[in-house]
Amino acid sequence: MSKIDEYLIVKAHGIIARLIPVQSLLQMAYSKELKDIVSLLMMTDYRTYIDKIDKLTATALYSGFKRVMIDRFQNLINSCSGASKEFIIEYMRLLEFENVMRIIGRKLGVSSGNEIEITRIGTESINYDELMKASSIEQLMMILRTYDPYSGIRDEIARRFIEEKNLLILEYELHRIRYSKLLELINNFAFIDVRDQLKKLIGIEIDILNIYAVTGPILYGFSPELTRSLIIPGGYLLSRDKLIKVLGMKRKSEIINQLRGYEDVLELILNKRETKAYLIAQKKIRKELMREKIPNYATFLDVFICLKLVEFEYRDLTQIVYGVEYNIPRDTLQKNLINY
Amino acid sequence: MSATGMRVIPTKGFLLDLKRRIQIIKEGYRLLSMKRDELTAKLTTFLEQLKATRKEVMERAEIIAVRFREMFAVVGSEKIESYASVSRGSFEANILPVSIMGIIIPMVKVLKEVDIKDKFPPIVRESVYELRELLQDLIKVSELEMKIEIIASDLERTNRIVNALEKIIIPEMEALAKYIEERIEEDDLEDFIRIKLIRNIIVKRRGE
Repeated sequence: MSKIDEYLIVKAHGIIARLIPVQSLLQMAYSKELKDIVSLLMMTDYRTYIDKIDKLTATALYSGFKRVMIDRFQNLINSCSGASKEFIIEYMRLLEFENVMRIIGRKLGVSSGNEIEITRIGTESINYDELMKASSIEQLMMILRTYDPYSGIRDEIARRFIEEKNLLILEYELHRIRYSKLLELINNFAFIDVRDQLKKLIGIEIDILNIYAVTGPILYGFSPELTRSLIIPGGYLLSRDKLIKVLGMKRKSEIINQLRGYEDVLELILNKRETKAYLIAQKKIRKELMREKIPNYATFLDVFICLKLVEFEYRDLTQIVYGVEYNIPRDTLQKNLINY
Repeated sequence: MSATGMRVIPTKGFLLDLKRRIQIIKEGYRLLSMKRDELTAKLTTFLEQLKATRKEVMERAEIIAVRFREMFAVVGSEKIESYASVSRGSFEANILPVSIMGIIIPMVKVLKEVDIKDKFPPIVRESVYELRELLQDLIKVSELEMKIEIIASDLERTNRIVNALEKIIIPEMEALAKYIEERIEEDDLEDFIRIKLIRNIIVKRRGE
């Protein structure tokens, strides 16, 4: 392990130590109004952004949470170089994709509405303004594909997206590009000691996305042909062949048997409780992270764990503020927390 | 004799015409009573249907709303915004007239649905499909409510007519017919007595 990596791991430990404890998250989940959450957050890293909020809304807080998450990721990026840096940038690409999807969504929309507020990440490979100026979807796709990693969008997918104006196809393609890049980076010598663990953890994320994709035809009549193109390679337990076989299945029990290892998630998805299934899946990933944490202490896995925990905190806080604003039953809100 | 609104001529011809009219009105009354009973039965059925459907739809709407809020909280506003802003065509429906016992009631026929197939990502799709089903159920409920409103208003009108026929028009016309009959009977008796008197006078003169 190089000195730079040691510094990165120490930074990651530092960030983990500053994360909000579960008890505080639970306390926030039981808040009556947003003000109560703010008063609890004033003692944390979120203070900087909360201070700047003019009108207290869940969306304003959500933007603050996103900014803190980006700052934490940036903090890690600034503490490393080489493959580690590339890995974190690629991990953060998820946020860039969200921005790109928003711009494309607006371009496909009927009304122009208000200008989109883009949360800039600082590691983008793309010029959002150029995308926003595109006069047609064809031009937009052309501009997008001039940038890396968007040049990896397959011709067939680009053509299909332009023809059908289907965001789902593009979203899965972007996931595919991101995950294949992450898996490719893992093969780097720098990650040799934690390669299997990283492959497993990223593989679980891919498996979950693939499960959602292949259950589309049986649950919502999605076309099997479209579903085939959505499958992301590199899953942990579920191979492409296994997933393709599900497309021809009609009985739920058959599907659960075919996709063994994710029974709890599948049961919920097949009962059309996708939000709950997503949360269970995230909790499953968190559990796996914690399981891998102890035997791999002071390795790059700590950095990956840090990235995931920061993301989970952001997702939990998002759930809490929207849950409080939209008055979701507090017991449900508490149970839905990934960190709970 | 205000309800009948006609000029009364106490003649046999008028009486026959009046009796024929009473017969027709009574037949009309019988038919309207049948319509009223049928409408009442239909209204009761629709009300029961509405009660059950509305309860079920409202309960489902509540569950869907809670799930939507949960989904929104998990996914966040940005992803929802990306997918929600995409145009998916318009929803088109036609309102067709359907006759029940001669009453025109509307029937909603969905011509074109919003295109959502293959278009939404995991988690969001659950709510989208649920909301689409809910929209169809809400159309059913509003169609039922409209039916009930129209039938109820027609039933009220029919009931008023039946009551007017039963309580005012038919009794008044029957009373009128009875009055004319009595007048004619009296006239006949008068004529008979007059003829008898004349005959007696003639017989008396011939006897002299």
